[in-house]
Amino acid sequence: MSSLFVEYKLNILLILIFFLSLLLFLFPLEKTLGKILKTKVKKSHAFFALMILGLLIIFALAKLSAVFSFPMLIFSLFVFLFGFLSDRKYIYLLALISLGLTPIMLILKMDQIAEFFAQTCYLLLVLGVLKDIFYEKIFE
Amino acid sequence: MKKYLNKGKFKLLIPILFIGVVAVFLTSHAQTKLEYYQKVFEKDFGFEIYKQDGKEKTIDDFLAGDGKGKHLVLLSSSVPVLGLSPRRAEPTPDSAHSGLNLILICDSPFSSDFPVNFSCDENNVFSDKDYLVGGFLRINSEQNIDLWVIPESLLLTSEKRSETKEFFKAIAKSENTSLALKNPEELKKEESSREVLGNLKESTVFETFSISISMFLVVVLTHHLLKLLSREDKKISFLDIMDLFNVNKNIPLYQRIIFFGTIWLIVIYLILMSSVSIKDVQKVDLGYILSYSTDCLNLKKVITSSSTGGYFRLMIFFYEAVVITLILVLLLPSVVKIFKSAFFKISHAAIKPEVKKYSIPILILISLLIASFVDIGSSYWFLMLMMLILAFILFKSKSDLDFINYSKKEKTWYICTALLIVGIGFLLKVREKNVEIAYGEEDLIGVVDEAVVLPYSKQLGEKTLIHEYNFSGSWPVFVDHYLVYSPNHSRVENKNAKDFKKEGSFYIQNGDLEDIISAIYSNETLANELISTTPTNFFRIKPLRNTGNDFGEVVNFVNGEGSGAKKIDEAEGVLNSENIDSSDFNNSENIFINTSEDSNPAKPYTAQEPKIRITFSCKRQDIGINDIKADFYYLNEKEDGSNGEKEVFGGSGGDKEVDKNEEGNSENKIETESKTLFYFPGCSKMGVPQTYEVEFDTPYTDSDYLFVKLNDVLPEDIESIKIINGYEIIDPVYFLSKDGYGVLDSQEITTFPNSPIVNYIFGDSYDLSFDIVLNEDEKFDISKPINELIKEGVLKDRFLIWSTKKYLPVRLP
Repeated sequence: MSSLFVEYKLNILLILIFFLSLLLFLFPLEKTLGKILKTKVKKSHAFFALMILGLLIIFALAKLSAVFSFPMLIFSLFVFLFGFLSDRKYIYLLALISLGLTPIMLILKMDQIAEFFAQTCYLLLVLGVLKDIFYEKIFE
Repeated sequence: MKKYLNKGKFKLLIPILFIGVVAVFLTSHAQTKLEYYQKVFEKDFGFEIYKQDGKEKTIDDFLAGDGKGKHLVLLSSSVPVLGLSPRRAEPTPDSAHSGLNLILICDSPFSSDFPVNFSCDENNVFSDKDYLVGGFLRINSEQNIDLWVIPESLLLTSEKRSETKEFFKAIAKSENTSLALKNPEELKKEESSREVLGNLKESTVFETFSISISMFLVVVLTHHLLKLLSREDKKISFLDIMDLFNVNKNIPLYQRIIFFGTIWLIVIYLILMSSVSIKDVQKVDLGYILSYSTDCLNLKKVITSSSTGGYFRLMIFFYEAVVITLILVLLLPSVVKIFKSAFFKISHAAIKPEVKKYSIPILILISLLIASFVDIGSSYWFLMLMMLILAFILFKSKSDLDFINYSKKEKTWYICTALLIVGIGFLLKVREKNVEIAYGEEDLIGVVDEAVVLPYSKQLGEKTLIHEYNFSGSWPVFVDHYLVYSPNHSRVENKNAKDFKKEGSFYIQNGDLEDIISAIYSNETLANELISTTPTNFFRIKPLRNTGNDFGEVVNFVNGEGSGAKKIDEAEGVLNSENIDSSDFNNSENIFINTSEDSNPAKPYTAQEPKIRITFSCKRQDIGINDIKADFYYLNEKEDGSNGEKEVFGGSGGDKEVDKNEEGNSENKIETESKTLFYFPGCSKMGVPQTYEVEFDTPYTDSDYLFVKLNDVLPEDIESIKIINGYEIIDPVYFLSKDGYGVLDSQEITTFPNSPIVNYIFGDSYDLSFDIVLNEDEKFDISKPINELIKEGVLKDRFLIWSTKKYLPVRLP
């Protein structure tokens, strides 16, 4: 049993962090923490500290892959949010332009570029539909 | 004239002039057989070829180092004409410096004794089996000789040529792996970081990232058009669209200058690339232009070609870099604008309170689920994504976070769900631990290449065994340090080197020096077996400080005449009086005579510090290092009266002491120290030994022996080593030395076929023994011993499959 704890110590630590984050939202734990530290602690501050700890553990577990992936994920999420928050007309227009360019590129024997435009068209249509369904439910 | 050459005509004239100039350089001439093969080796087989135009450059230029890093193609029928006799091909000081890379195509009978004995004709090449692979001869020696001898018949038919090409590819791959034979740890590290990047390139994260980047770029390029098309206030006219492309109106002056400059550069680039395409493939080939352009952007290839004189590619690389930079500069204002707009939108978006309330605990529960059930090594990106979304929602609601209230029922529900997830996850992990591992299977040679030669680096998946792999051949096969196949032997036993016995057939594997020294201390037979009769870069002396003149290997002499020279230990290598350069001691007044009877006399007073005199063989002019570093190894003995005892043995009059402390050995530790002995300026003349004598400051130790390894020096580079301590010259005891994977020593008993063979391994080892039972096809399934090693945890992650024969084919085209 103890070998299991040793083997999965970082995983256990990560699970603990998530569990603590949950407790932090459900109960006013930040007040107890503030009393211990003798300073005012905000819920968001405590949460960000836990998230940073969690990230460090993930970096320790997945090493270089996680370090390289992190900025890529930030950028991808940024682009997704930008698209999601943009005017839906832009999204559908761009999807139409991509759709039009796909056969043109195929005729010009630029298969890879045609594939890119086809992919872009599909993703933009998905983004447009997602926006139509969820935007008003999520954002004010 | 000035009037005639107005702006428009001048613009037209420049490209025409350019084409004219290029055409002058592209004058065609009749192609000889040699030129044909040069082209084949360059274009089809990917060699960097040295081309002697016949006008300016000669083979002498190549040998003088002009073709640095390139291969010289020669036809055996033309060798006398070209004046390159085998003798002439021997490395001159200059050619050896840069390397002698030769491709000899045998189109007529030819024989040579350099660098090894070989002969060839149009159909065959004959030489020592060690150098033959796939019907041709290949020598890649550490003396900077890279020789290929290829019978012309291998290049005449498409089938044979394609087979030969596969062998070239296999050898190139194997040579990269060969580095592992020299420095396995370094290669494993390098490969693992390369692997991380390779895996990352194929990951979902990278794919999503590249799609995000390209879509962002599409938005940057089309945002004007999108705005125009989505305008609702007025109709879109043709003029509006034309306005979009009106550079003068839409962009500021500095950008306009860059824009037109870039257009011009692109036009010139296209003309240049078309010329290259015409020169290389005799037509304007868009595919060739594209591949050439992307090739020129490959930094690795650019560095290689510039170091071998390919300045045109370097020029194209800089040209492309300038064009790309200018395009980026042009796009930069739009990128900044879009970024600003995106940040504005994201920072001003307001999430609904009910979404905040439920999304946060749900996201945390999903993260808990992943962390409890899935391997984090493969799902880390999903966890990071969850955390980023959580951070975004929190960032959007940091002010009203304290006002989100959950009912008691909700709290109980969330906490119970979290505890259930964690509990089930934990129980699953416990169960996994108790259940026997379910292994998957994969092929031993996991690449699709048509030809594969050893050494081969195998990346093993997690919890994976090897499929049945039947092998037969006349060479042994090793996996890391373990012998898994041996021809002509009925049984293979892999044992620890400390159990070495000099009987029957055996191999002694190379290993870490600490392990080798530890084994030498514990096994006298092994110590004797590993002693080298020729000088090497790894030797043993007695410490210079604690035992005074008590050297097993001390020879004393009187006034340089050698009359007083005495052999102290026959087993330890003997220095004859003729070996001593007496001139160094002509002025000696104090004479100290050491004899074996008096093995521990008082240390005489000598004002001089001990010195080391190294004579380099200078077989290679450049041994590849600038300073000579020595690693010192000695046994740090811990006093342990109950177990430890020292036993003196060593046969004929020797006073060799070997620690026979069986259990105590685990208490003893090999300590290491590293020192730079001196800066090595190189050899002044090839083949003429050169001697350097410097102070020899050894570490203080109570150990009986001090082992010294000269770093990054090949054993063949050493002609002799002498330690001078006052008036004594000490001849060290040399030991066999090798870097990386390899066999240090072996013994083959051929009188008893089907006898067992023992493979001795240094360090921690697993005793792997098995019978070689051949199947109906007279082949042995080597997956069985390999799988045993995998199950025992000896082989994991990455391991090396190799043989004593270089380029041993394991898959033929």
